[in-house]
Amino acid sequence: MRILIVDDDPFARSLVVRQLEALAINEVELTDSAQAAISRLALGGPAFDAMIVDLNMPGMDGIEFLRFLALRRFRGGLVLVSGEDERILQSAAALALAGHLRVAGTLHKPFTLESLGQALAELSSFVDSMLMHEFGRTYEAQELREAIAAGQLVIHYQPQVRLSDGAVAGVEALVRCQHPDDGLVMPSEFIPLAERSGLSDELARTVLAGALQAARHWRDAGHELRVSVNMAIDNLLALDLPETIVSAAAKAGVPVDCVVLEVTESQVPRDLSDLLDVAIRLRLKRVGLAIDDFGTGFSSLTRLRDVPFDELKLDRSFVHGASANPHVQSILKATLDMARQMGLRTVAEGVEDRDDWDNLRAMACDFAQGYLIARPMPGDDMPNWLSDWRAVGRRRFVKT
Amino acid sequence: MDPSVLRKIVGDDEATVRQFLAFFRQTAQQQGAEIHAACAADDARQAAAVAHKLQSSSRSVGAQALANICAAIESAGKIGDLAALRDLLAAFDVERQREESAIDSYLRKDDNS
Repeated sequence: MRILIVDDDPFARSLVVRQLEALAINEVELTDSAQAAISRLALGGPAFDAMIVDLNMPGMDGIEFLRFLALRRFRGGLVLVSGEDERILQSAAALALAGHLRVAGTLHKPFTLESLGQALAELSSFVDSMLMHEFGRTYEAQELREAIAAGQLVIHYQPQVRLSDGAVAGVEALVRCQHPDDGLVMPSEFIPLAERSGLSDELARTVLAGALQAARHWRDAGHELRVSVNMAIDNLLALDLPETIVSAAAKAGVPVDCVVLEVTESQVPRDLSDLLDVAIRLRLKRVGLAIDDFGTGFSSLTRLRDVPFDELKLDRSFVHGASANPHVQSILKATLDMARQMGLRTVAEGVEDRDDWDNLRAMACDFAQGYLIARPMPGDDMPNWLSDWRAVGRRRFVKT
Repeated sequence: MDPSVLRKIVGDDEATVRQFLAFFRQTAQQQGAEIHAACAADDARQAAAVAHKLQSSSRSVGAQALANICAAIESAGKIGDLAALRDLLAAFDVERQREESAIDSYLRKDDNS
């Protein structure tokens, strides 16, 4: 793992270098300011998998540096450190997440070897392999069109299990693109492009068809799983969407009430009228409708009350590590209470350790999804995973 | 200062612990001089910025009293209260020298053992 340290304090830098040495990470570079880091990045060379960034620096501060990284779409992990209070670290992490940066941890200075070790372990959970490219490449609409046509979209599935008894309830279909040169390209790098260039419809249809086909295979093997598919708001505003879903499900031979459409909270439009038309008809046809990334979009709850969602997906930032943060914990609790009162099924994303699981279970959240249970996997791997989970995995979490 | 705090940060290797204590001693001396210079130049913001760093470093070697004075210097510096800054300098010098002797005696003791 290659790491860049950005900190203006020589003593703090030396401590981190020593800590990384103790953690057997030897590819470490140091810069003493955000400007120096930017100059270093401009030189190129092998990509940094992670940066450890101090928020409090003279000149350009850590927050401005995060803005730069977000703009350049830095794909490595970030560990944010500061001698300021926890709230500032939390806010900075929220800001970084809003800029689609990957935050592995926030550490209050001085921090122990153990806590840095944990943050870096977290990091290796989302930097799957060493990065080929430090910054996101820009893809052209034409490339995406060709990739879809050439069947380069691959769908991975991440299980959702019931917290009360560990039963597997369903999966979320997550699209990736198998690029001939760049390897597996993550959705954050091409979904916005699809939305800008009018390809979201084609993308959604391809994913829906693939996911339904997978659901059919699993059913044939005796596994009745609900399948959640992400939709761009433009997809949901197409008036013929309910009929499209019903006929696609019928064609695959999968009951329509096994399909859940997810729409991101931030995409829910201010004017609900068109969305309501489609949403109500979807629900009448028993298609599930989930609000995704809940908590990140600043929606008014009363406005959301009018859309007949039947599932609320809690964003990872309110799930992972919540029990250690009273501020986040109270938001989580209030959201779950509200969802219950509105009769929504609750799914927590980003369940990554045992504390997350126990915390959500104590709060009576319905379902959990995250690395603790399983990473997204190819559809063909699901049957094996399901039998392992039933035989061994779930016993770790619930008494059977 | 408290070497057990530092051990949690850099690990148990005694040579490393001693190396960081010596480095801290030097850092505190140098940054102490910078804080004095900033106060003499009526540069409260600079005093706050240096005190902020020394505060974290002090906590990492378990020098809590020195860290607390640094925090007070940082707060006074941020609001530009030069009078309060100058009042804090005397306490700062006393505490810094106390930590310096503690580090010296720790390093000597280990030399003998």
